[in-house]
Amino acid sequence: MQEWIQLFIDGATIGGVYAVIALGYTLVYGVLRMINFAHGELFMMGAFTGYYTLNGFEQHSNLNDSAPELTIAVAILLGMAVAVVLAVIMERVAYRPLRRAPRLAPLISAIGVSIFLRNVMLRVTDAQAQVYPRVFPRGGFEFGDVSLTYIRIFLLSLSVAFLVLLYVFIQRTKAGMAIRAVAEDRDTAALMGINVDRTIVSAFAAGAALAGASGVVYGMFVTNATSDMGFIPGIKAFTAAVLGGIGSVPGAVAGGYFLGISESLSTKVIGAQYKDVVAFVLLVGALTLRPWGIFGKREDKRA
Amino acid sequence: MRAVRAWRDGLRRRHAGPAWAPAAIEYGRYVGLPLLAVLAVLAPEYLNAQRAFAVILVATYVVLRSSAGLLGTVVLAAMLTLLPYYMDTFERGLIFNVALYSLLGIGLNVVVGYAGLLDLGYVAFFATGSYLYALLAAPGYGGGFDTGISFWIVLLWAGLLAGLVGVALGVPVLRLRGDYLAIVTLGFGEIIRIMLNNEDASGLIGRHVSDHGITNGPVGIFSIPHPSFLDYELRGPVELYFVVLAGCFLAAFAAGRILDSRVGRAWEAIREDEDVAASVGVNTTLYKLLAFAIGASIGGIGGVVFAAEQTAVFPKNFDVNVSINVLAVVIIGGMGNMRGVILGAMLLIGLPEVLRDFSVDVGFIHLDNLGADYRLVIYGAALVTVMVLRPEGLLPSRRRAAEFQQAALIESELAT
Repeated sequence: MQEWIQLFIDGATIGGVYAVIALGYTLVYGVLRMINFAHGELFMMGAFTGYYTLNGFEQHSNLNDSAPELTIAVAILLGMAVAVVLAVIMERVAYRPLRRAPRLAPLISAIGVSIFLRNVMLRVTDAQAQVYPRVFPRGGFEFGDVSLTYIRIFLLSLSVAFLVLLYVFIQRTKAGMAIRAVAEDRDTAALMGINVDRTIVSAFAAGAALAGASGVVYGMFVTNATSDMGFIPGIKAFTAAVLGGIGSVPGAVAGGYFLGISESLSTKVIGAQYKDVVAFVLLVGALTLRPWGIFGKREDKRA
Repeated sequence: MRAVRAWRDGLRRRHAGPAWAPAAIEYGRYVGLPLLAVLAVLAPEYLNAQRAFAVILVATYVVLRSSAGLLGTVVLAAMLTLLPYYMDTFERGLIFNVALYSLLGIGLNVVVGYAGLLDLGYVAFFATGSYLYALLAAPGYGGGFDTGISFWIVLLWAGLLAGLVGVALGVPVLRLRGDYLAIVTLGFGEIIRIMLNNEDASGLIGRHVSDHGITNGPVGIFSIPHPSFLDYELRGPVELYFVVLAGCFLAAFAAGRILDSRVGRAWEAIREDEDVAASVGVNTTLYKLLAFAIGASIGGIGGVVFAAEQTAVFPKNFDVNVSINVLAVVIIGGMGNMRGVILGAMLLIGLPEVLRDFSVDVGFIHLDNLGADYRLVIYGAALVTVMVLRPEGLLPSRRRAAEFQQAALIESELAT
């Protein structure tokens, strides 16, 4: 029983990460009807920014020991900033020129961006994993066999915080309303005076900020950063977004946690090495049986 | 001057987007490449490999570009057959790879270029063929079953098996379009790799073959014997290169013939608008599965030859980068066009090898070993660039070029 609880907690932790990344996918899909293949790489870049920031603090000061809250906060903010900048550039260079091109073009362009970013970081790090300095206090709570480290609690709660923040952004701010409007009907939104281009950029930026910040904390959690750490989580987060209903914000959240927990619990049944397979199987199943996900609505086919 | 302006206006009318992009391509075609050819021949202080490659690239491009169909093909065939005898060891291994990726590109071209189904998991079929041959032919100590089955028979079986795998992978994705299809096929490719890598794969199936399960896990299968043809053992990249070459021509010929048939027309209809095609009575299910099957067969056959040449297969050989490489070859070379695929293979597989040691020194940027280490970085950038500037690829079929340009034309008309 203890083991199941531990697995559940692990699953919820990673599920939170998936949910945050999935939100980025869903936001972009909502406004552009396009899957940003390179979104996972934004997560990865956030993690690397976090690494370089914390490493910089480590080597040039002792703030990591004396004021870890400060260094971590700076790392997260920088991670967000870098991810946002990258996302804006990505949108401008690789996606905007292809807005009316046949569907294949922006998709391949996104794949190209993903390959580019992954391999640039591969070169920069010389294919070595970059190990984070120990900033977060060790230790945690123990309930019998179940352990709950501080960093895990941090990751869990931060994910929830991000989700709440994004919800507030989408529902209560003008920019969020613009995103919702463009997602629902781009041309009418334009007629209503919404600057569609800027809204699309803001959707990219919001998703990127989340992914970047999440990347920083996840990097601290797994204590290292590699150039392909965004690839599989990216695919899984996409799966989560689809499971929950692509284009739907609560769907992304639900999908993320559902996927994380299912994946984690399944390792008890079929073994840890097949964990990734679970995500793909769920994806195929979802797309075959219920492509609009949990919270989505049936999309009409257009001729 | 007026002539230049007229040429530029003609370009602008025919291609949407910045005028300098097609202009650069036209310039490259009529001025740059011939210049390169002349330089390459007259300036022998170039490295041997680079010169040979440049000359071949130019000559091939010129031949491919001409519309002398049969003559062009015969000349091309002759050139390609004589090629290995002018090359050293390194280059021979290189042209084997180029030829192999051409073959794979032809296969993927059927799926992506003809039927318009974006398949990112093509490596799965490649792996099927490779492991089939490896398992059947390798001796026990290498991890195989040591049947004495001939290479050529396995080729046939691999084609069939891979085709079946193609259908099996195609069935669940029938209803998916564009983006979803891409990710799901990507997932399939990854699943195949994970299953090949996991030693417990046999446990899952319920049979225990050896300590390492059926596929020998990450250790791989080795000591695969060389194929023999009429008592002559085919070893080394050159002899197998001829096999691949023959395969390329056969596959290209077959695919071309199919394209000109009912099936090809069905594919075109599906590619343009699947719902409309279905509504006018095209059996989209059948033709999509057929595309998958044919593409997969070719991939499987390529896999068999790969295994024979390498004499060992490891799961690491079949990761997502292979799929991406083949996709890049097809996309950048020119979707829906065999010649474009071959050009793409030469550019994307051959050129980086030739430029392996190439270094760049611009200001404070110092990059070594451009071909070896930065290859994928350049791939990524190239994919984006091609999509933005010339989405139909470098040597597109006229149809695809028209499709892409039409979309751009509609956009520019909507904007005014």
